[in-house]
Amino acid sequence: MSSHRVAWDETGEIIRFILKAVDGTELRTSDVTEFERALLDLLPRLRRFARALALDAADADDLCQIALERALKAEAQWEKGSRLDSWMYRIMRNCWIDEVRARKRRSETFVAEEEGLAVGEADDRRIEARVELGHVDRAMAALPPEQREVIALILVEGLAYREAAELLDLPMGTITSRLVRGRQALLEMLGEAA
Amino acid sequence: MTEDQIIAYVDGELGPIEALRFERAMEADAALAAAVGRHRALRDRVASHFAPIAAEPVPARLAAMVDPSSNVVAFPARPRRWFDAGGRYAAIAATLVAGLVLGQVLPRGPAAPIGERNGAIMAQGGLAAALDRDLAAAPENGAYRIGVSFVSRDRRYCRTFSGNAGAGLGCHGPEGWALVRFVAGSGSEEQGAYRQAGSASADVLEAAQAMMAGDPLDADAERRARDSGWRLR
Repeated sequence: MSSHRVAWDETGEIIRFILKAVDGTELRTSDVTEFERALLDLLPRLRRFARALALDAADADDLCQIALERALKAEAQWEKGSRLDSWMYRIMRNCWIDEVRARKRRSETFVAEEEGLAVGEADDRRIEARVELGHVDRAMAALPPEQREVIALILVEGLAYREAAELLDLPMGTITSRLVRGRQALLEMLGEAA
Repeated sequence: MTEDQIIAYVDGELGPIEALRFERAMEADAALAAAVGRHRALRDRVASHFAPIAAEPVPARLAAMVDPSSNVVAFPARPRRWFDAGGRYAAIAATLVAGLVLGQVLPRGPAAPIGERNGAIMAQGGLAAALDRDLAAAPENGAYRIGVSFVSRDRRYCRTFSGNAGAGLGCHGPEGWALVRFVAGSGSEEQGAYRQAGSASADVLEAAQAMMAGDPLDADAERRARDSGWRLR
């Protein structure tokens, strides 16, 4: 029993009572910071966002891990009181873009004749091989990254257009045009009975 | 109406007046209504496709990055590490945590049923009053029901109780009722969500049995003990 850190004050306090009473053991209460606690609460949503970007479950959790590493290192840059979710979405999105670019470079290196292949198509091809992926995943995979991230933020995470625009540092018009194109593409792929 | 306006309407991005105008137009234009239907269905399909991921338990390796012992939070229904980590008090704590994480947080402060005095957990408020006064044979309509009363091997009067806040076992001493066991959120049968902690009463009874010297008090002995102020001669 090396450490008994508990994330919740209330819970920790009561457990401390219990342990004292039962065994005379003193429980070390949480030294989890407010930042970490907020991050823990946010994890389920971050995983969902990661999945909507990366689509493959294992890739998505890897993406989460990379984004968390970056966020924990950059904790000092988070302004207390500002929205942690927007901050984390932005970090995750940047991590994903880095990964997309790295993957694109790799595919260019190894498959020179496929030069000009869009990243979205490359992703699609890779994911197409995994039959267990649902139609929505395949349709999302076929979207270029700049459309996929807008769809993920607005349709999956429920952000307002303005929030998405701020997060991506883009004008509203760019957000809406990507959203329109992304949606049209999804409708085409998923059929009338979307 | 443009495609931009259709999706802005579906996404709730139109102002109230624009939205009203849009709805008017939709009433007169079946094709527009159909386009709205398609976009709405698309949004729903994409959202509901990814929604279950946010309901999954967070993998331990991710939660552990933020807090090495965070599985209490990350696995609300399965506080596994607590069980693995050590013996019986981990198990008690885990049961307690399960009850709390499911949504119940015990009130703190003077009105709370338990509090700390000189390093011991003591019953206080309504719980202390119930332990002082109530008889199992003549249940009051209070927040707590008294279960078994007995004399412990270390020569104290002890009583089990249950209520909405939890079930537990208290023993009387000069300071009042010291809680030996307390499992949160197990008292009320209708609280379906907390049912999994329903073994709490069994857990408390087991603890009582282990502490008991002889048999539980019968109704007469219970009343005499109360009238003596829970002091053993």
